[in-house]
Amino acid sequence: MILLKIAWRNLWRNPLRSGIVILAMVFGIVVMIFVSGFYTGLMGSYVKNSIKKQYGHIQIHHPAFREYLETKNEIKTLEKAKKTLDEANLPYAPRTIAMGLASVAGKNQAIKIIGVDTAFEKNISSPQDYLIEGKYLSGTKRNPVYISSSLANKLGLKLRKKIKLSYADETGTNISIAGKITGIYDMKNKLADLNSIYVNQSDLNKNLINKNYCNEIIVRIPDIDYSSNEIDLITQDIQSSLPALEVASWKEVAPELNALVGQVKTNQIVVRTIILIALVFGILNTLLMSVLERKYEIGMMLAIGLNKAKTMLLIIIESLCLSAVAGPLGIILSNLMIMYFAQNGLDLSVISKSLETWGIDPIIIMKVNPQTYWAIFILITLTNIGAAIYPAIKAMRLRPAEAIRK
Amino acid sequence: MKVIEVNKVEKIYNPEKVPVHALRGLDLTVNEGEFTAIVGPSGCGKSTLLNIIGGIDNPSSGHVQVGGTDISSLNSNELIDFRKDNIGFIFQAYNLIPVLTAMENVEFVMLLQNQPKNQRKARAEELLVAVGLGDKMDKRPSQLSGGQQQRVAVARALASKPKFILADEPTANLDSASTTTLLDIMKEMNEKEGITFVFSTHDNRVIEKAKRVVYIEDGVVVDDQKK
Repeated sequence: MILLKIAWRNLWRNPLRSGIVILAMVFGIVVMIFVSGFYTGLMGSYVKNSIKKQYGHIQIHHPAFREYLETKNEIKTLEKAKKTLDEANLPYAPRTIAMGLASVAGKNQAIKIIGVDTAFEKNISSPQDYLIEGKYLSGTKRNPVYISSSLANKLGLKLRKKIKLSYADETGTNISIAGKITGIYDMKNKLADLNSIYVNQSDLNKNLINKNYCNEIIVRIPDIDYSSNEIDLITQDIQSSLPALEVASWKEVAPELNALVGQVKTNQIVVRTIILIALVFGILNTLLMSVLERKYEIGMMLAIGLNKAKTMLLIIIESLCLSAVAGPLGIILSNLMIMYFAQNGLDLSVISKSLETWGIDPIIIMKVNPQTYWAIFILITLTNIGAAIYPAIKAMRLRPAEAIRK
Repeated sequence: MKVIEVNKVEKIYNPEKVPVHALRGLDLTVNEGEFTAIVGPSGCGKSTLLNIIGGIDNPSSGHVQVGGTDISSLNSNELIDFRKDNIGFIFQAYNLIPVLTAMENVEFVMLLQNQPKNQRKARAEELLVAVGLGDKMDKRPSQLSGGQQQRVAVARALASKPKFILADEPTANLDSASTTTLLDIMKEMNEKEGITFVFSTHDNRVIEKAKRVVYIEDGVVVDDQKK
């Protein structure tokens, strides 16, 4: 207790010096939490948008479909799959996916033709939500086509223009449909938008052998965080009910997304490490100066009976006093900052074009979970202990006779 | 009864580079209840002798016994414990912990001895009253004069009930009035409670009050006068 009292009061003997190091620590905490909130918000936006607009939380296919993307790999037990999902009360949409070619006036573009059932699509995030011009898969009797603005620009297309879509049927035979563009969408994900065209599933199926063809079911779980383990549990449950099919969560369907989430975590560790290393030197310098300035005083304390372990402990407690002030202050300020950006978002409209390439919203809604605050507080505390070790050893090794020599 | 016994103590600084002989086979015995001044010119080895007697420096050769314990054979941790329980220190300056009050400074050694709180408080109060600082217990060193600080140091040195008190030029930074007050207090403690004092000094006022004056020159005792 007396050591804590001495350490605490020593902290304020040089308020400017302690204030500067506390400020540096507070700044470090705020930056670490900002980076964490920013990356979580950025990745959250990217992953959530990808799940919402492309992948869904879970996808169901023929086991060979994802590897070869061939039309022959259809879901033959569609009714059973639908029944399973209905019983699980999960929103879903069956689709027909065909890898094919869009041709218009001599221009060709490899594309993914997505045949959707508009009635089912409403259950998940509907492509209709991103309509910017025309109508969503209606407005013409024959083969309405819903195309992205980026692809329309690339192919020089407008509303009511004709487009030929070629693909293969279940036997591998090339077939095609002639469609008319009735709607243009913008999902703010340039890479995906350039490669996707939506048509009615019935239009896509009418040239196939099986008119009720389906090779993909997208499942979207309402009100769930993308990182939740519950998604994996639900995936496993459905898989056990549909053993003849492949049931995959978004992490399996889009491993690059999952890898990116992992990469972002690694980046955060790197940023934190750099900040903590910088802090170590600041704290070490402050404590070392404090020890050397108090050489005589520490020598006197050693002379009158303060043992080496307690001398070392005194310096470590002094360092911990720094984190006891800076830690809560940094956490409170960070929390206020995160609350603000969680409410209002961080406006990155100036680089919205670049963000749109990746399907990231220009307003980043920051999010930091409570564990991150605790982790950073513990990291700061450990950093302080680490930084105190050398000055503490220096203090402990002072020889009273030399230290008190005038 | 012998409290301190110094036998053929040598202290050589920088033995491998430029050897400086601070003590050259010095012998000294201090008995219980003595009020001993160690005097001599600057560099004669007074402070070195006090440091060695106090166990805060090691002799290059020879032995020092304090209360029957050969402190030259103790390791550094044992020495710290020995000092805490057996020796009171008063230094020339920077005697006190600046962030603690007079009361807390006096309590500090007792805290290190794990004495119970009530006992600590009572003894610290008693000692501060005894040195005339009953009304300054809550003051920090910076709020006390040099003389008052040295009186707190005396109280602190006595707090652990040591076998003797070592004072290294305790009056060097004090004015006449403070010197007189401090000496009177130490003398009173010595005469009434039989506490052994050993101090190094240049100060004639201290030498006059001492019951015994040991003269050192070139690291050896050249004269030893008992009054």
